[in-house]
Parts: sequence; structure tokens; C-alpha cells
Amino acid sequence: MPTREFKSVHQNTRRVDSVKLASGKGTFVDDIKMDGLIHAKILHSPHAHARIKRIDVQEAERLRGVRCVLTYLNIPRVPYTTAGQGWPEPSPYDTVMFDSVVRFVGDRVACVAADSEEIAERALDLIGVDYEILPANFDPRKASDSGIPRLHLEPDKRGIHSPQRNIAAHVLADVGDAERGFAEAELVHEGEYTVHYVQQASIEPHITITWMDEDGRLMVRTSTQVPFHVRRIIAPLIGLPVQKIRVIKPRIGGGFGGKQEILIEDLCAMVTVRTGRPCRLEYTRAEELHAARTRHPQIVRMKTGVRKDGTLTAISMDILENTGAYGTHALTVQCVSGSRALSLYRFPNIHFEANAVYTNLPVAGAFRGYGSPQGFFALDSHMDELAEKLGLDPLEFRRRNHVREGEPTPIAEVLGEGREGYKQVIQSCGLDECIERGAKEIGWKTHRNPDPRAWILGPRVSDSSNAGISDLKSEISEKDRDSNSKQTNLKSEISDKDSDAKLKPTNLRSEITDKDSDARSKPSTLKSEISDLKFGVSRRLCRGVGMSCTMQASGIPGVDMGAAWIKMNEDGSFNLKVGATDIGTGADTMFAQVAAETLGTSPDKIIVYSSDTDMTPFDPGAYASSTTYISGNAVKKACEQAREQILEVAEEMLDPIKGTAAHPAGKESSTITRPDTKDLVVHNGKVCAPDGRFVTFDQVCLRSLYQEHQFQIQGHASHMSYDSPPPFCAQFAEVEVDAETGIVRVLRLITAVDCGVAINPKMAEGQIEGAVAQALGYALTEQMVFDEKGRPLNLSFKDYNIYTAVDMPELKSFLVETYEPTGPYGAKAIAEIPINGVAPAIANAVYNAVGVRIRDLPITPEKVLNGLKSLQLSQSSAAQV
Amino acid sequence: MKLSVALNAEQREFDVPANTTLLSLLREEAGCFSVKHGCETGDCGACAVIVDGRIVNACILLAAQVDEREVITVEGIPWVMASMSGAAQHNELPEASDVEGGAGHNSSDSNAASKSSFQNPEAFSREEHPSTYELLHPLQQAFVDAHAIQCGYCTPGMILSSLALFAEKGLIELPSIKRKTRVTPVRRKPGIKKLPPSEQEVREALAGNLCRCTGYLKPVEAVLRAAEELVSEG
Repeated sequence: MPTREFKSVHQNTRRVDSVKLASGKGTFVDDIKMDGLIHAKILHSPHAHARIKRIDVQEAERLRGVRCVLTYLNIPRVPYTTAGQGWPEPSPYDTVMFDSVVRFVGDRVACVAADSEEIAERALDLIGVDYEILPANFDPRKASDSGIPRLHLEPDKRGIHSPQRNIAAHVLADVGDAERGFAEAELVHEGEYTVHYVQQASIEPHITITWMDEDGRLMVRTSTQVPFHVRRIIAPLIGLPVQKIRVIKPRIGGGFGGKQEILIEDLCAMVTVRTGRPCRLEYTRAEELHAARTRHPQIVRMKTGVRKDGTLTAISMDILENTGAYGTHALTVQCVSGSRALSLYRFPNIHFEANAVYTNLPVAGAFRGYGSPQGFFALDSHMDELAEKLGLDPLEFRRRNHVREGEPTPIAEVLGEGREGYKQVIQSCGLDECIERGAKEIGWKTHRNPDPRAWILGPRVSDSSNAGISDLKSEISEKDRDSNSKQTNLKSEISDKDSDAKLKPTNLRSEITDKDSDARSKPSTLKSEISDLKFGVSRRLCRGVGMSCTMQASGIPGVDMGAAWIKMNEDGSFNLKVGATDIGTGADTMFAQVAAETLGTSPDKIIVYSSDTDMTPFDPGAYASSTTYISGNAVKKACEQAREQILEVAEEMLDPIKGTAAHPAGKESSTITRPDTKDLVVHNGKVCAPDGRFVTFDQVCLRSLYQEHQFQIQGHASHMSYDSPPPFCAQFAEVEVDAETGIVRVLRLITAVDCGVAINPKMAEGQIEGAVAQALGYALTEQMVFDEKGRPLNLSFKDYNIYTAVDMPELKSFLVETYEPTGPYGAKAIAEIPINGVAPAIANAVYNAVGVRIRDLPITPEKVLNGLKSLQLSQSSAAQV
Repeated sequence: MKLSVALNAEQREFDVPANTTLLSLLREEAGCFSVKHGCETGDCGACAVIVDGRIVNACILLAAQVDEREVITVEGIPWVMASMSGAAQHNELPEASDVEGGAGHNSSDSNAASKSSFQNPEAFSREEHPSTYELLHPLQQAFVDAHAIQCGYCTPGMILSSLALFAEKGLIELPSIKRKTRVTPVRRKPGIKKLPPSEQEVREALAGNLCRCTGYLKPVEAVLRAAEELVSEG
């Protein structure tokens, strides 16, 4: 727990940017006007795998208003990776700006820049491309088979683990001897878990505006999480030195990992370099949903050895990861899947192997959680299965085995991000309290379904004596209400009849994948269902409760370094400049609080500016849950320097003879002593001496700027850490499964997170709530779907179902506070961890409700129904025997 | 084609190609940057604006469809406030206790220059210097106070959806520069107490505004809070 009282941190300080955002002020990339702006558009491949035999751009170039057409024929071939990572990137250099081979539907073919978007789009249609269609593979399991096309055999590509076998990245890590551990086990359990393609879907699409400034330098205003990586990575592609490029990050409309990619900056910049004109390039939603980045789908095989008393002896985790057509983040995402999942419980022996393979599907990349949601869906489902086999309460089983303060996480040492890691010892862990709080809130003891198979041969619906079967009447009225609400949701209506057709009933969530899931929004069927009792076991609404435990990290140990610069102004305010990248996370507010706490002033005296490669010091950017922990520590250090300088000036001012500070009334100079800096305290914008005298910050700064020993009070610092303290999280779900339709409704979702000291508890809560909403989509409704030719089928928010305000279950979040000694004011990371455990908690709850184990995300009604049917079959055949 | 649109209290004339969407009219011609582009298919609500009292998605309307109509964007909220009876003096400035964090500083674009004198540190309080601070509608203030804004991209749409809900519920009256509005708000008998919307009604009002950051909890809370305040104002 916090060991001291805080003034500015650990407060719900209002966000520094919220007033302008609430007023709709133009603060995003696109919110500027530029004279002579031209618009770029991309021609994407319609084929999953093809060679461009001929590409004819003459007609497009001749179209009036077209300024520039880029293809592989007029762009230098420079292999790189779009993964916006630190140098040297652990992702393979398997990408070029344009290639003569296209590898997925959505791959780049050409780019046109014209005076308007409309002209650019017309020009795209005029580009003639002859494709030689090549065989394509969409199955990661077959990627290395003979007869399957190899995607990246070109000799100039680097860093691919095995181009001959389509393996982008490979990891092998061992702790102890897993085989020996399995031999010592009394029970060995195995399971295979699969997770699917989902998209980050930030509401602001990728957008970049570039122009040449008056000095001939390229300005890149872009919606990115990684401004410094953008500058470094596009420089060789467009043939400019880093010196000639300035990347500006204004406010960003969400990123979630999708904007860690260097997705379009290179094209926009190249157009400006070629034409000298300012250029704007923005993805459409359809482009976002297939030609941007996704979460890596994985097939995870788990094998665990355990003694009957619940002691773990060994685990083996084997991941087959689908990285899509290019290997961005392929290596590191699967490293994180392993290193997080295998750190949480005390496995004495670990075997971990992972292979990321190429397929002709969209490119996977960074997405909040970064491998952890995949790894924990497997691990937490697996732990639940194990607990059942052992006859233990799954909660108790986890509690016995999870890692604790003072314990090492040995896998972290052998499995870093893309290379060996560093030894990690847990210095703060509030997981027990997280479990306790969550269990109490969900009612673990009272709401667990004692008999998940009761629905099969259980009492009729009218009998509500069974704990697993809820009171139907109240359910129906609740459902009816829900359904009605969906119908009344016809929003955008103005009286024009012709426009009505286009206006979307905002919550008709048509499902592509699950034909039957629409039942959720069909009220009319409900009444008939009640009377439609077939073989005595019809409509049953079965409730169940499940949980998961997860962890994350705070930054990449030994890799991430963030820097900060603070300077004092003559009114006692400060300019704080950080390279760290607020993408809507509230990082700027958090920095203002950390700075104010350190300097002894209030957060509204801190003017935060982030981030701009010309104006701010370096930072890797907003990823890996590093901002609070790494960049926050840099801010703290920089402010400590400035504070020392303030104290030195103040000490002199408080000198009874030389100083200028007013003497207390009635006291002679001779009776006042000069205080020592160590006795001075900063508080509320003042430096106070023990005798009650004080000087204000503006007096201090005025003196330092204009009077004595003139200098600028300022601090600058960098921070890098070999520690990466994990935040911990317990999540609990209560679901209701319709045993007739397989529809899963989440009723309540409880999240308890140990993020150390929350610098801003309200913002931390906001991170939890947002992550949970995304995770609900991951668990239940979101899935990128492709046809047999690899063409994406759901290219709009109508078909790609993210959660809306009416879909949300009852949500509760708890912050369980610990004090992380290495963090700024005890803080650890918060942003990613709450996304990890929702899917397994729901899957475990579904199992608790109806006894159906879903090992394949998303949890669709179809899968649940199939599970219900096979349970029924096995039950009736057992009855016959 | 020539259009005449009553945009945020001002009758504006535009001359745009016939295929111009309302979204590009508002952003590119009228400079209303609060109206955001999120999907171009009417699914996300980032471009939601109020046309003749109803909330619509600007990306799937043609500009021509608002000819001779009234459009309100977030830029017009000060006007909405000015025409709120009695609300003007109530909401001139936030309470001192509301002001915990910094003002809208930071960002390459913002230049909320202070006119205060640095000689007097006390002179920095916003209470005395409204120029450094925005005049916010209780609804906007509630979004700020409830931490309902994360990236803020969907916020203008959410605010307008809520405003339209408030108008529908009779909590506020949307102003009109014409004599009569095309869509008359629900008429209430005088003397009947105004009721704030239920949580479900708020959720439904926001159902067309996709948000990927907040999980909707705090925005819903903000709208309910603002409604409560508007009701208690009478």
C-alpha cells in the first residue's frame, strides 16, 4: 500500500485534454486545412496470392487532376518491417513498399495521389493490372506442407526464420525439464485451444498528412502510437535522412496496437517527396477491416502435469501462430503469449515452443494485450479443466498455485521479447485480494452452478428449484425489454423518405458467422418458444459463473527507454515535453500528475506536450504497457532535477542576509538562520522553510531568469528498466446460456486489477472498462471472416460487431492497490491487462452453466449449440446403455 | 449546386458538387471539425449531427438533403446554451471544486493563451479569467467530470445524440433560427414535471455511437448526471 500521502498522484485529476475534446476542437490529424492538399488512395489486391504480370498506369496518369502514381515499377525496393518497434526490430524484414507479388486480399498494388479523393478513386479504376493468380493457403496448419506456396523466398528479405517452410518466427524456451515433470505428475491433462482474427477498430482510422516545410523538411502529421519509430522507419524508404523528417502526433482517436504499425506514412510521405505537394491519406473503414492489422490467430496446445493435491509439476505450451502474409510482430507476440501465461503459476518445469507461419490472409500485428489474450484463453481454460479433473474449486486451485511477492518468474529470463529476457522477481502482487474482491462481488459461493448438466435431464422450465436454472418469468421480461430496445434504435431519421433506406438501424447486429445468433434480437420468437416445449427439456436459461487470473508486464525490460524534459516558467508553470504518446489513454494527464507531485505544485501548472520528433525527447511510443512505468519514471526523474534547482535558488532567497524573502513580522535578520536545502519542502507552488518563511515558484523562476546566477531551471532525464513489474488481474463472469439456442448472454463482468498505485484511479477504471468492452467482442461477437478465396466478408461495422452501449453487461471494476517499489509513486501498468481474462472467464462460465467447454473463440451460439447437442447425445446413449 | 443551410445559428450559403456528403460539407466547407469521419457507412456515429431536431449520421446524407434545414454540430452548443432559459447564468463557469486538472492545454494546435499576469499567481484561477476556459454545456461538463472522454473521437457524436435525447424528453429545447421547426419536440402539458431519461433510454440514445475506448460506462453516467442536473434546474 502507499507508504505516503499523495497530493497530485492517486487523484482523479480531470484529463488535461478533455475540455477541448468535449468542445469538439480540431485537434486530430485531419483537423487542419492546407492549401494545395492532394489526396492519396491505395489500390489493394483483389487476390490472395498473385504475381503482377503487367501493370499499366498510363491512363490513370493522364486523368486530369492526377499528380502521382506509385507502383513497384517506380519505387525502390527496400525490405523493411511495418512493425513500429525499436531498433533493431525483432520482426523479419519481409515487406517492401510495393512488390510484384501480392500476398493477401488487401495487399498494396498501387497508390494514386490526385487533386481530390474522387479523382484518385477514378484513377485507381483506370490502372490496368494483369495478375497471374498463384495458389494460396489459408490454413496455418498446412503452411509448411509440401505443395503449399512459399510466400517469402526472395533473397533480399532478412530475418525470416525459415522461408523454405513459411515460418516467419520460431521460439523455443525451457525451464527445468518438462519431461521429468510430466513423469512426476499424477495427472497429465492436454488440450488444444484456438483463437481467431479480430481487428483493433479504433474509431479514428489510420490517417496521415504530409507536407514540405519552408526549409525543405518533410512534415508528417500522423495518427500513430510511435512517432519516433515512424521517423526512423520511413527515412530509408523515401530516401530522406532522419534529419529531414519531423513527425508530429496531435490527438489520436485510439490505437490499441493498430497504430503501432507504419501502415501508410511511407506512401503519403513518398507522394509529398515526389510531388512537393501536401498530401493526405486516410484509410476507409473497409480498408481498416482487412488491409490494416489484426490480432494474431493462434492454435495453442497445452499439456500440464499435476499432483493430486493440486501441485503443478510441468507444463508444455506449443503455439502455432498465423501471422498472415507478413511477419509483423510475429516473433514477439508469441513470446508474450508464452512469457505471460507461463509466469503466472509456479510451474517448476516448462517447455515452450512457438512457430509463426505465413498464410495468404490479412497481416497480424500488435493489438492490446499483445499475445496475452491468446495465451491466457488457453491457460485459463486449461486451468479450469484441470481443477475439475482434480475435483478442486477452480478458484482455490489458482490461489494455491499463482506466483507471489518475492518469487521469481523463471520463464521471463529465458523468454524475453524476441531474445533472452532478464531475471524478474515479483515485488508487488495483489492477486489474492483481486480474487477475493471479485469472488465476493460475483457471489462465487452462491452463484456457481453446482450441476452444469442439470439442464439435460433436469426439471421442466416451470420448476425453478435448480440453482442453475433461473427464474424464467423475470428473464423473459428482461429479454423482451432488450429486444424492444433494439427495435427502437432506429436513429438517424430525417423526414426524407429516400434517405431512409440508407439509414441504419444502429443496432441490428447482423452476424455473418453465426446464422442463429440473431435470435438475440428477435423478440417475436420468444413467446412461441415457451409453448414450444419439446421432449420436456426445452427453453432453459442456465446461469453459470467463471473466472480467470491474468498478468501483464510494465514495459519491455532492457529495451524500452523513455525520456522527458521539463522547464520552469516565470509564473511558476512548467512545460513538460515527452516523447511518450498519449493516444487517448490519458498519458498526458498522468504525466502532469507525476510532475506536479514531484515538483510540489498542482497538475494544472504543468503544460504537457506530446509528441513531436522535433520538439520532444525520444520515447519508444505507446505500446507494451510502458508509458506509466517507463516514461512516468523519466518524468519523475526530470522533475526531481528541476526541483533540486528550485531548492538551490530558494535557499539563497531565504538567506537572511543575501536573500530576498520577506522576514516574518517582528523578527530581526540576526535571529533568522539560512535553511539548508534538505530542510526545505516544496508545497503548493511554494518553497517553505522550517521557520514558516517561504518563496513562491514564480519568485524563484523570476530570480533565476533575470537576477542572480541566471539560468533556466530545467530537468531532463531518461529511464530504462531491467524490471518489468507485472500488474495482476482476476476477472469473473456470470453468463446465461440459452440451452435451446446456444446464445450466451453475459450478465455481469467483474474485474479486479492490481496496478500498483493508480496515478489516476478514474482513468485506470476507464482503461479497465474499455478493455473489457473490447474483450467481450473478442470473446463473443467479433471475428474477421473470409471466403474460400481469402476475401474478407465483413468490411463494415454493420457486419463486424463491436460492442455498443446497449450490448454492455453490468460491469464492475476494482482497483486493488499495492505499492510497486520500482514504479513512479508505486505505479504499475494498467492499459492492457484487463483485456486478457474476459474470454476465458466467459468460456469457464459457459462450462459452469451448461457443461459445454468452448476451446475455440469466439464463443458463438452455433458452437455452444453443437456442444449442447453432443452432450445430449452422449447422455441419452449413456442412458440407453 | 447552391445550398442554404441554417448551421449553428447562422444561415450559410454553400455551392458544392451535387455528390457532396453532409460530412464533407460540414468538415471541408464549413470547417466544423467536431464532426468526425469514422466509417462512411452510417454505422459508427462519429459524424452524428442534429438536423431539424433529429440525430443523423452526416456521412450517409448528401449535403443537398439539408438544404433549407437546420443543422447543429458541437460547434453550435454555445448557441444552444445561450438560448437555454436560465441556463446561461447557471453554467457560466464551473464550480471551483470541478477544476481539479489542467485546462485544455497540450497539443500542437491548442493555444489557450492566458491573459493573466504572472506577477500575481492567484490571478491564474479560471474563475476570474473565463477566456482561458471553455464555456461548457452541463452535458459537456458532465463528460469532462465523469471521465467519459478517452480519445475523444466519438465524443462530439455522443454529446449530440444525448442532446437530441434531452430535446426529445423535453429537458431542453433546441433553438431554431426559423420561426418553426420541422420536427416539433414532444409537447408536455404545463405543470408536468420533467423526467430524466432512464439508463436504458440513454444507452439506446448512444447505441449508434460506437466507442472503442470507454466501454460506455462513463459516457452513460455522464449523460445521466447531466440530465439529473437539467431536471433539477427545472
